[in-house]
Amino acid sequence: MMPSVSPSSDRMPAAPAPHAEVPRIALLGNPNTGKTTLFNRLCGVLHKTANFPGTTTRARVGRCQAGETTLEVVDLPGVYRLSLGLPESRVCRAALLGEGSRRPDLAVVVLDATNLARNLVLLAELAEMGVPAVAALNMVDLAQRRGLSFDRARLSALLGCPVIPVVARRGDGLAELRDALLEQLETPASPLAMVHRLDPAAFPSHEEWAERVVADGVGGRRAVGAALDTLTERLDQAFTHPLLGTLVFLAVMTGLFWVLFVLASVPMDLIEATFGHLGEWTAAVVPPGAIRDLLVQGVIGGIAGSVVFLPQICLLFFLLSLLEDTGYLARAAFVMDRILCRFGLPGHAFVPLLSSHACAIPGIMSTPLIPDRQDRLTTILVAPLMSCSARVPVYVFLTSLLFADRPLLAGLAFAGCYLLGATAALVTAAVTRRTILKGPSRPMVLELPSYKTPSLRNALQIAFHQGISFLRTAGTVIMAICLVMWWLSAYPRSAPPAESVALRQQAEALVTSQPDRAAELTHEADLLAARHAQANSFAGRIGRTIEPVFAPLGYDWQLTVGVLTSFLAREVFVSTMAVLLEAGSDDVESAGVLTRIRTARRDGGGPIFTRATSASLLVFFVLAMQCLSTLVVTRRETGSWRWPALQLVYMSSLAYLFALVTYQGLRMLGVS
Amino acid sequence: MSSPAPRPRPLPDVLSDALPVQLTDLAAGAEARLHAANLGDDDFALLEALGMTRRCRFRVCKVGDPWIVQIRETRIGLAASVARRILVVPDAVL
Repeated sequence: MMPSVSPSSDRMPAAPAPHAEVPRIALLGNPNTGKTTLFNRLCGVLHKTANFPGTTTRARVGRCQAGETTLEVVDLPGVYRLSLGLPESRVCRAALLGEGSRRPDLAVVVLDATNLARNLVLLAELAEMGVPAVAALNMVDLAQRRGLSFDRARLSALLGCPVIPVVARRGDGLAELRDALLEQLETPASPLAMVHRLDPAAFPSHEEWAERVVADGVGGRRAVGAALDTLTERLDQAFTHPLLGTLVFLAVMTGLFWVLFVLASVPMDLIEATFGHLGEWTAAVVPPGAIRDLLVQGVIGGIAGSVVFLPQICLLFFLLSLLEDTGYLARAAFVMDRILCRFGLPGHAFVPLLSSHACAIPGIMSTPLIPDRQDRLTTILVAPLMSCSARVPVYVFLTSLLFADRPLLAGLAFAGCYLLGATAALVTAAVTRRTILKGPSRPMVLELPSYKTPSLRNALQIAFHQGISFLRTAGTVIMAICLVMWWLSAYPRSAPPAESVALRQQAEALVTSQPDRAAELTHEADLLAARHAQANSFAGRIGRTIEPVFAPLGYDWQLTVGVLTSFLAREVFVSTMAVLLEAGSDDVESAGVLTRIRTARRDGGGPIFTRATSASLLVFFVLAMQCLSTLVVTRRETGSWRWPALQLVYMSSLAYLFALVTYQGLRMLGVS
Repeated sequence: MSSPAPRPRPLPDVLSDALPVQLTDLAAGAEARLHAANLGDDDFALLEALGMTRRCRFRVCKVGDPWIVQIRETRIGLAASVARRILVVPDAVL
């Protein structure tokens, strides 16, 4: 008997009610059938992304125009069967049955014309669920090149629904598809008609029915046979070879991330400069006071801190989309699976983990590449442990303090930070998959899609959409958190200390006779005032209050404030320390600045930065979760605050523990 | 859109006299059919959904990790750990 996917397989769907709401179309199909490309063609770039209720599976919802009618299109995850026990199949079943949301009025089943028999099984399952459908026969151009031909009228009759040939990559057949959608919404063909064709007596399985449909409706020498494609065979041999495949993979990834770093740095610098000028301009036109500080430091500073990631996000998704379109990524997953499976991660996890070296945010946003939910959650959890580019200024700062005149050792310490982060991520993944996300990994069984020329348009649309999606998050939650953190660091206001006032008076007296000296004195006065304000702010007071917690790690109240403020974003640490220690600049490559910081003293008179303290801080920054934007993106990708909370608590605890061991261990060894 | 294809050749009830062997025992180019797989229900169902059913002949395209097999137009990569758990009936006598 054929498996049923719904208890309602024998009932007629209710007659379509007059649409008070926008008609909803579900887009369904096997993976690699061009479903997303078709969605982008139908809906353009302006669509919403949201998790399906109670899941980490993301749905894209867009609108398309068919004549005078607006349609809502829901892009369901790619599935091979609705009846499988896999999370994406469950999500599709729930969406098609209207569980947790409105039931779709119609489904578009995207069929790969080159592989029709396997794809038709999904259509049969859909008919049993009572959802009327239109079949979009995609990639007909490729199928025809392979010698296949389609008797469309016969196929429509056999399937009991309209069959529309399309080439989603080029946009061919879309007008006809839209017309068919309207027609089906007005007078839907009964799915029951097709269910009757699925007579269990004649066809014991859906596969046998599908084979008969292909035999009756598809012509061509290779309609039911396997074609031998020697180029594909050779490429697969090379790309999955243990040695050659690894070399190709390393070359591809090096190229990808080189392009990412080089190209993204240009717009990132531009964004920083633009917001810098905007801040200066605002400071010049708005009168001094709380409003100006809020605008300059809170709003503009907060937006700049988030938007600066945008080029990396867009570029990464653009490049990944091109790479995925070629069909290479599926092969690469096997290459990396040999290594990552030892740590409980699938080969797919490599791209998000590698991306996290640029920034954990795009890394986490790219985890939908990973098919299994447990694997995906594990990857999200450990991705921020990979050393991102925001840690680089802190690493430079601390390694320069640790090994001032020994660049080789400084370089080794720098590389060690990356190694420590990656090791912590892999070990954490292994532990996670054996504890809180226990369960067997999905066996590495993957369809290897045909090699294709990537679609530039599709890649641009995906990059644009990911950018917009990130900005929506950055403009709301991240912005709100930035404002709170700014307020904690800036309030309550305190009057400048007496030394600062005195310096300013001296500067005013010298402004005409010795303008350079006056500028220096003003700068020193500003630094003293900033330090005093920071120390008396809520953050400063909190730092003093919880100083005993960080004392075993070797941190005084100033370092504690630096660590606390860097929970907003870790790169803030350097500038906070520069302000607190009156270094005059956060340019850590400047010898004068480093000297001032290195010789800075604690309230008790001892140096703030001993060897042991610097090493402890370095370890802390490698392992700590100090990026609110990452936490917000984790919340968005997992659909729950539980995971970012776990990430924060786990990484902070890990950082504390290892920093403690480092500091106390070095002290025991006599290093101070 | 043109004329329909000729019917596929009928599949024999008894596929082969050969005894089932591990997929990993086959050489590249060999053809076989699925006999059984020592996998979980969901994993086995996934294999079937990809087209690797008892009725469908497949060709071994690449041996090693991963194993690559082709069923009609679908190429499937299988980690060696999975391939070892799949029993197949070689098609040599058909």
